[in-house]
Amino acid sequence: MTGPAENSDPVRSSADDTVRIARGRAIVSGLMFAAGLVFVAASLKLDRGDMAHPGPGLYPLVLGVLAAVAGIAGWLEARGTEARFSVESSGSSLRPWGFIAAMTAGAIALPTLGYLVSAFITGTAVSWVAGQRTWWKALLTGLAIAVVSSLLLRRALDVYLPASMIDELL
Amino acid sequence: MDTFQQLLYGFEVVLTPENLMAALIGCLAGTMVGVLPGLGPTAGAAVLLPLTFTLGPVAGLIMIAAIYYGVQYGGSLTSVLLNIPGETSSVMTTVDGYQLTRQGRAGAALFITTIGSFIAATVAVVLVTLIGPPIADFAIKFGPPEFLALAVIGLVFLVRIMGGSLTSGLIPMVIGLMLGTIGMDAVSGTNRLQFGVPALIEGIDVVAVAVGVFGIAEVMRLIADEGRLPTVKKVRFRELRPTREDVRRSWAPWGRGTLTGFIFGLLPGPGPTMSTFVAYKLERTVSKHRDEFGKGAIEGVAAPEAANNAAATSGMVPLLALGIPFTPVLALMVAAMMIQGVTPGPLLSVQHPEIFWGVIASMYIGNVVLVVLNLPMIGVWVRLLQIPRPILVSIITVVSIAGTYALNSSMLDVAVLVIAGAVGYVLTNYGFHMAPLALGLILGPFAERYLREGLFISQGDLTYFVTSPIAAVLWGLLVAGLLLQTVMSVRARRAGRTLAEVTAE
Repeated sequence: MTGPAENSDPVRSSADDTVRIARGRAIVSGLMFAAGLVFVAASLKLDRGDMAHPGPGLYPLVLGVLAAVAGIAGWLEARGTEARFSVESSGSSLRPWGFIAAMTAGAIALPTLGYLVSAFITGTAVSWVAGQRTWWKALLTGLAIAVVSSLLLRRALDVYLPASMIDELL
Repeated sequence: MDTFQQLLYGFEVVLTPENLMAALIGCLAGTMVGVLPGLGPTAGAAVLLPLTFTLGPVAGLIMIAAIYYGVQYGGSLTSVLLNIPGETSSVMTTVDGYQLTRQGRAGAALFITTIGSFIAATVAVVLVTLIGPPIADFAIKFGPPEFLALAVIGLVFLVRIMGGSLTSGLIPMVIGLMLGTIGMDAVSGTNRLQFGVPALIEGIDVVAVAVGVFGIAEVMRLIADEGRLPTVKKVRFRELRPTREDVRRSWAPWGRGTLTGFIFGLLPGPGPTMSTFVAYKLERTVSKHRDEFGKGAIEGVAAPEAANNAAATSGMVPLLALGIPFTPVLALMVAAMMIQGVTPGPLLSVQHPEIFWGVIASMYIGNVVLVVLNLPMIGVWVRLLQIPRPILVSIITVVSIAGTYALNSSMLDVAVLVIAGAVGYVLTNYGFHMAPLALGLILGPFAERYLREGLFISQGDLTYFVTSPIAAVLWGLLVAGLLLQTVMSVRARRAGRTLAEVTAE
C-alpha cells in the first residue's frame, strides 16, 4: 500500500494521488458515456409515444442522452483540471476488495447453507480482512456474531432468513 | 381538529409500548452511529433501515426519524473529546470543543452541547408542529408542474451544493436516475430496461442500493484506513456541571443557532452541515469574546450544536408536508414509507395522520430520551469507540446482508448490495458524492411520473410546467439559487476557501 505514512515524500504522494484520481474519474466518465449509449439504444426499442402521450421509452432516452453528456463533461473535467481534485483518498489497499470477496462468500452461502453458516463465514472472513490476525479470535468473532444475530433477528424480531438444519437446532 | 388536538392525537399514537420502544431504540442507535467516527448518519440509517420493516409503518418511521436526529447528538461527543467529528455536521464543534477539553473543561462543553441540542431540537419541533400542517394544506393545491419543480430543485441543489466539481454530483445523480427506470414502468405497465435479467422486473430496490453505497462503502473505507483507534479521556458525571458564566454566555448562541439551523433545514442540500458553518461564523461576528474563538469559546460549541439539531428537525417539514426529501437520510424515509405502503406527499396528514402526527410527537419524546441518554451515559458512549474494528465491521456487514435479504427475501437485493458497495467505494475514492445517487434513485420515478402526467394533461405543451404561479416561483428560485451558488463558488475559488466558509459570510 502506498499510504501517506509509508511514503517519504508527501508532495510526491499527493501528486501521485491527484493523477490517480483524475485517471479514475476519466475511466468512470468513459463508463458513464458508454452506459448512456446503452440506455439510448435500449430505450429506442421501447415505445416513446409523442409529447402529448409520452411512452415508457421517452424518459430513459432523455436520461441516456444526459448520461452521455455527463460522461463527456466528466472526461473533459478529468483531463483539463487534474489539480482541482482533492479527495480524502483511501489509498490503493487491497483489503477493501478482500472484504468484498468475504462478503460475497457469505452471501453465496446464505441461500444454500442457511443464515447461521452464512453469518459465521461472513463474520469470520470480514473480521480477518479487517485486521483480526489471530485465527481463533476471528473464528470466535464470526461464531458470536452468527449466534447472537440469529437469535436477535430470527427469534426476537421474526425476520425471515433462510434456515438450514443447523439454524433449526439453535 | 386544530393543531394542538392533532398533536395530542400524535402523542396518543406514540405513547404505546411498541412506538416508545421504537423511539428509544432509534435514539440509542442514532447516538451510537453519531459517536462512531466513519459511520455517518446516512450509512447508519441505511444499515438499520431494513430492520425497521419488521415493525409497523408508524413504529418503523419513528425509529428512522429517531436515528436521524439521534446522530446529531452523538456526533458532538467525539468532536469535543477527541477532535474527531462523528459526522460532517459536527466539524465546527471540534474547533472550540476540543480546545475546551484540552483546558480540562470537556464536561462543561458536553453539557452545553447536549442541553443546547435539546433546546434547539425542541424549539424546532414546536415550529415544525406549527408550520408543517399549513404547508401540507397549501401543497394539496400542487399539481405535476409544482412537484416536478420541487423534485428538480431537490436534485439540482444537492448536486451543486455538495462541493467539488460539477460532475462529482452530476454523474452519481444520473446513475441514480437511470437505476430508477429499470423494471416495470408504473404508468404503462411495460417491462423495460431489464437487460435479460427477469428478476429486475420489480426494479432495483432503493434500500439495497442505499445500504451498499453508504453502509458497505463506508465499511470499506474503514477497512482501508489503518489508523489507530483513539485514546479516550474519561469524563465523570460530576464533571459535567458548567459554570454559571458558561450558561449565561450560551443562551443567545443557542437561540441564534436554533433559528439558523431551522431555516437551513427547510432548504435543499445538507442543511445540518451548512447551518453549523453559518452559525459558527455568525457567533464569531457578534460575540463579545471574539478573541476566544478557536481557543475554547463556549459560544463556539453552543451555536453549531443548536444549529445542526434544529436543521435535522426542520428537515422533516419538506418530507412530511410535501413528500420531497432534500437529504439522503430523508430520502431513506421516503423509501421506508413506500415499502410500508404509505404514499409520501401533502395528503399524508389526511390519509395517514397517525404517521404524520405520530412522527412529530415522537420527536418531542425522542429529544427528552436523548438528553437522558446522553448526559449520564457519556462514559458508555465513549467506550464504544474502543470496540475493535474487526468486530465492529463484522457486525455491520452481517446486519447489512441479513437486513437487505429480509427486504424481499431476494438474493438479487443482496447482489445489488454487494455491487452498490463496491461501486460506491470506487466512486467515493475518486471524489464523487453518493447523496445525489440515492436522491436520484428516489426522486427519479417521481420526476418521470409528474413529467408524463403533466405532458398528458397539457397535451404536450411544455409551457404548462412554468405557467402556474407557484411553479414559476419555484423555477425562479432554482435559477436564482444556481446563480447565487455560482457567484459564491467563484468567490470561494478566488479566495482559496471552501464554499461553506463563503456561504457563512
